[in-house]
Amino acid sequence: MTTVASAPVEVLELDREQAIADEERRFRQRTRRYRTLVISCRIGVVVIALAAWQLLSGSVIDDFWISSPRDIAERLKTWLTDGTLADNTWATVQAMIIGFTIGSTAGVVIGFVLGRVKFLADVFYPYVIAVNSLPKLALAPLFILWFGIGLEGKVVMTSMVCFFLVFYNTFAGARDTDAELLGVMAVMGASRRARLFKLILPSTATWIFAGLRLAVPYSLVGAVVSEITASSEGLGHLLKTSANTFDTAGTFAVLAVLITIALIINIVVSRAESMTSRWK
Amino acid sequence: MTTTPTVTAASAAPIIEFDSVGMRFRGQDEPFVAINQLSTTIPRGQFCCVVGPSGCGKSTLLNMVAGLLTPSWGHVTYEGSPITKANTRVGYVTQKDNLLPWRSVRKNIQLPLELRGADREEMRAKTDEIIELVGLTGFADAYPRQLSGGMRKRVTLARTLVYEPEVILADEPFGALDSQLKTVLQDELLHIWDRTNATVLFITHDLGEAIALGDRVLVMSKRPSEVVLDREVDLPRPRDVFQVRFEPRYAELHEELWTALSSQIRIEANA
Repeated sequence: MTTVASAPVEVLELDREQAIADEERRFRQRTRRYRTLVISCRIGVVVIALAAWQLLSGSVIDDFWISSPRDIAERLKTWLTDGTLADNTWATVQAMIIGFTIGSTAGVVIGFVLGRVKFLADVFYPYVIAVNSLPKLALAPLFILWFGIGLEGKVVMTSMVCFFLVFYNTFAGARDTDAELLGVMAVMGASRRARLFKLILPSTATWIFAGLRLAVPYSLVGAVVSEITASSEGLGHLLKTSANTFDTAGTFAVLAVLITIALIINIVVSRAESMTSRWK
Repeated sequence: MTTTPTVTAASAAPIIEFDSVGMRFRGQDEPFVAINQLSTTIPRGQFCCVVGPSGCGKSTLLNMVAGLLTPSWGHVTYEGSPITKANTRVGYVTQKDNLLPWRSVRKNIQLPLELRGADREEMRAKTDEIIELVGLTGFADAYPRQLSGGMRKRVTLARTLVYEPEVILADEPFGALDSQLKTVLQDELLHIWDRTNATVLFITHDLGEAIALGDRVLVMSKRPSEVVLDREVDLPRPRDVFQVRFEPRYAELHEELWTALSSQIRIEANA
C-alpha cells in the first residue's frame, strides 16, 4: 500500500524539480542571448557609422571638412610612433591628476568644515555662491596670465573646476547627517569624536564620492580648455594647433583620444564606486 | 494600603520626574508653547504609555529624558538629579529605523557596545544573544537595505536592548508597520520586557497599543499640552496582545481613554 501511494508523489516531486531546472536554464539562456544582442548592436552602430563616414568622405562631402576614418587612423599611428601622442596625453593627464587631487581635497575639507560649522557657513556661503556662479572656464585667461602657459596654469584651472563640484556635495552631505540619529548616538554614549568618525564622516562619504565621480570627467574638461586657451603642450594644445592649420584628420584624431580617455575614466570610477559602497 | 484607582508613585521611588515642565519652541513663523505645565512621575520598572493628539509634544518629553532638549521652564530629573547632558543610562527607539546603512546588522547592533568600550569577546557574545532574542538569526551579515521594514525595526530594538539600558524611550516605534506585524512585534516587546527590569516610556498614537502594552496610560491634551488623564491599566500580566483586545476590561478602558483623547482631537480639528 505505502509503496503504491508514495510512488506518484515521488514522480511528481521529480517533475517539479525538472521544471524548475528547465525554467532556470531558459531564463539564463534568454538573459545571455539578450546581452549578446545588445553588445553586437552596439558594435554594429560604430561599424556602420565609420563605414558611412569613410564612404561619404571625398565622394559626397569634401574630406577637407570631415577627413576620413582611414586618415585619422593613419594620423594616430604616426603620432604613436613619433611620441607626439604619448607626450601630449601625459601633459594633459598630469594636469588632470594634480588638479583633481588639489581641487577635490580642498573641496572636501572646506565643504565639510562649512557644512558642520554653521557660523562659518553663514559668513562664507554667499561668497562661494558668487564665485561659483561665474562660468569658471572664463577664468582660464586670468589663470594663464598669472601662472603661465605651463603646468601650473592648467592645474589651477582644473582644481577650480573640481573644487566646486566636490565642495557642494560635501557641504550638502555634511549638513544632511540625520540629527535624530546624532541624538540617539549621544544617548548610546558616543563622544563628539565618536559621532564624527562613526556617523558624520561615513554618512558624508557617500556624498563625497558622488562629488568625486562628477569631478573626474570635469578635470579633463578643465585641463583641455586651459590648453586650448593657451599652452605649449597637451591634447588641448594639439587640438588647437591641428584645427588652426586646417588639419581635420589631426583634429579628429585628438577627439578620438579624448573620447578614449573619458571612457577609461568612467570605467575606473564606476569600478572604484562599486568597490567602496557594497552596502548600497 | 492606599486604594486610589490610578497608579501613584508612592509604591516605588520614581526614576523619572517631570516637575511643572514647559517647552516653548521657536517655530518657522512664530514661537509657540508645546508643553505648558506638565508634572508626573514614572516609577522604576513601569511600562508607561503616552497618547495625545499629534504635535502635542509627546516626543519632546522623550527628548527631555534623553537629555537632548532642556525644558524652557520646570525640571526633569532622573533618579533625583537634573538631566544636563545626553542621558546614557537610557535607550532611545525612534519612529524612523535610523540604522547606519553602511554597517551590517551585527555591526549596527554592536554600535552602542563599541561606543561604551566593550571588549571584542563581550561584544560578540552579547550581540549574538540579542540577535537570537529578536529573531534575526541568519541575518547578522545583511545590510539594512536588504531587510524588510519589520526586520529593520527588530534591529533598532536589538541595538537599544543590547546595552541593557534602565529606561527605554520609545517614540511610536511600530507606527509605520502594518497591523499584523505590529501585533507580532508588540508581543515580542512584551516578552523581552518581562525578562528585563527596564522602565519604559512608550509614545504611540494607537490607543489600543497603549492599553495592550502599558501599566499606565497618560492622555495628553492638545497644544499647549498637559496631562488630561492618568489611567492605570489593570489588565493582568502576562498579557496576550493577540487576545487582550477581546477582554471586557479592555473595552471599558478603551472607552474611557477614547473619550478623553477624542475630546482633545475634536478641539484640535475645530480650532
